[in-house]
Amino acid sequence: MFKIRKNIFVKILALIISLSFVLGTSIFLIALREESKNLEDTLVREGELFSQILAQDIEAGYLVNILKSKSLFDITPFKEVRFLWIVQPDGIIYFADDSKIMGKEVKDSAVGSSKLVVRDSIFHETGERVKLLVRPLKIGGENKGWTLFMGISLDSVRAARKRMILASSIYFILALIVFILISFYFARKITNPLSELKKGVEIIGRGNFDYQIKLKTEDEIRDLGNSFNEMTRNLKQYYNALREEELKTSAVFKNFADGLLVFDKKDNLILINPKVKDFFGKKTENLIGKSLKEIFKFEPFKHLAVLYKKNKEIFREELKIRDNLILEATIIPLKIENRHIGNLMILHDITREKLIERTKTEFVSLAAHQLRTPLSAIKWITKMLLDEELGKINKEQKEFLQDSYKSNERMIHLINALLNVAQIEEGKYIYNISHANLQDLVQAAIDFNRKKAKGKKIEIIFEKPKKRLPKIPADIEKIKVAIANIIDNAITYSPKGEKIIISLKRLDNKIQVSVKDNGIGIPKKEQPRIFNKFFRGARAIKKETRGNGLGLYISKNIIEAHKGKIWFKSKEGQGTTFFFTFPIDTPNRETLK
Amino acid sequence: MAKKILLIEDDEFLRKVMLRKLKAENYDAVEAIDGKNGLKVAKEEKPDLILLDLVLPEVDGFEVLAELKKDKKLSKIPVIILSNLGEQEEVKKGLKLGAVDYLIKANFTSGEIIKRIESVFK
Repeated sequence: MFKIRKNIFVKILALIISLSFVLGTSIFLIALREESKNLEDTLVREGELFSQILAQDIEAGYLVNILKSKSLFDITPFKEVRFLWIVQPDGIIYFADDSKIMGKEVKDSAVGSSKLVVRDSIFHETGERVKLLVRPLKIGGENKGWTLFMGISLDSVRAARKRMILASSIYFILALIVFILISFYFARKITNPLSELKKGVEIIGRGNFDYQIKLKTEDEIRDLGNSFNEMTRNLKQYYNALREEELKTSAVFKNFADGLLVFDKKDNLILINPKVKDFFGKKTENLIGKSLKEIFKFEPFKHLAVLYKKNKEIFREELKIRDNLILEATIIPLKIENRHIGNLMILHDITREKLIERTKTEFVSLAAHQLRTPLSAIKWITKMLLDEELGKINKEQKEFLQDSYKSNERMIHLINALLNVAQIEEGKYIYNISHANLQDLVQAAIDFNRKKAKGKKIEIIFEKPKKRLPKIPADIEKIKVAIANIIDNAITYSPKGEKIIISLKRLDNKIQVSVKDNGIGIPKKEQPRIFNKFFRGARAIKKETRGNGLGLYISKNIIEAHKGKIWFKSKEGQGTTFFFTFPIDTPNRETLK
Repeated sequence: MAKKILLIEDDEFLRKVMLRKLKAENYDAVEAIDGKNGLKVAKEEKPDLILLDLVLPEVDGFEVLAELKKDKKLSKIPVIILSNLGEQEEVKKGLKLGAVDYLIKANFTSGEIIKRIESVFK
């Protein structure tokens, strides 16, 4: 605060003083010069006048008598005369106020001058600067060379000048004092509001947005103050809005049903919400501010830390923390305008969902198992009856038994599918990987469906590559099931007598299989749901009431478990082509779930 | 001489059908309706092959299998698990315990099961 005042004050003061000093000195010097000149001029005029009278007196001869008894000075009322000589045309002083120099010769260009000469000169006797005045005298006729030399002293001018300097100096000092006082006043007038302003800024800076700066000036600084107050009011509004937003965010954060953990750029835990404490206990609070390494040491957090280190991009993973707590962790990178500022970990409690899911799959599994037993018995006995192991049967009996057998088979198939789904969902669908040639597997899947195709007079064309393709790591039985499901669909939804084209080819580092039919096609609005569990298209249901909506779901799971992809192209009424690919360099079995 | 086959199965219908089939195929078939009984019959009858269900009251099929494999006199008898449990875990467990085959009942006809039995005797 002091610094501002000092700086501005000193600057203003220095400016005013130096300005007035330069101005005053200039004026004073000019005045002094003018005044000196005036005085000199006056003096010279007086000298001229006096010399004229004297010259007339000399010319008239009045002085002869007087001079006998008195010196020239005695008769001079003009006190400034330093010397007074009457000089002969040859330069010899004929007469002088000082008798000692009479008869001496004057060496000056003005000797014998016929005109009045006025110029500066030096009086040799005393060395004093004088004004020399030379006037021609009419002695013995005009222009005979007689002259009157008169030295006028400039002492009075010098004295006057000294007085002026003295007086001016006193005035100047007085003026300076007044200036300083005025400057001080003005400087304070400027710096005081600035100090006020500074004080206000500091108070507002500390967060007191209610403070208003009141300035006792009417100038630009006051405008500045007003603008500042305006700015403060705006700031207050922004601040309040921001604070409100922050409170809202904070409330959301605190009351969020999921556990939230915020990590900074350096992976230090900086924020957790109360739900995290619910999950892991009160000790969790001590982990705030700790690095990932330290969090790692805290037992319940171990899983999270391992997960966190894995990846920085958005990803989800299920974590079984303990028997009665299963969490789904999602990690999202936090970005502000594309700048990575940390990561958010969301912990969603899925214990209940998991329990329900497990109960459901267990139920399905149990029910399926219970159903399988009587179906097995029916299968065995029906087949024995059909094979006439228990005695001859007539044609009608045989037909009914065949229908019974088929219906029973469908039931078994459905239950198997349900069990597969349950296993997929429980993560119990285990893959036994060996190396297999996909061509053989496709052929097996075709053979599996041969009978059904024959029944509908559908021709299956298998377009094989000329060269045998490399083997791929695969669970032979499951891949067969996956492909057979797709071929089965193609047959089911194709009209009688149609063709199904299955082709197998290599594309760079993968093998692609396509199954093309000219069947009913899949309407556009049903396409996104086609791989969903239990989904069946409306037309598909009309065409074939039997069908469990599990085939494609299972196929997709199997293919994706082999790091493959499945997709389709379809147009309603024109047919569908399913494509699926398997990478040739499929990673080892550990990566298959 | 006809081979003796022991069928350990708690479901009466299935047991009846399978016994009928085995007899039709000229096997000497003996039966047991639970695990405990199964072990007892196995000791008494010394069958050439055992068809073993897994879901059995009290002593389940895995325990029966383990017991059979522990008994020096019985451990050589080939056991085919014939069950409707068919998850990979169970299949693995069964084969690990020493079963020669694992058949899911619903996926095989009795004729196909006989073929599997025959292949064991070959």
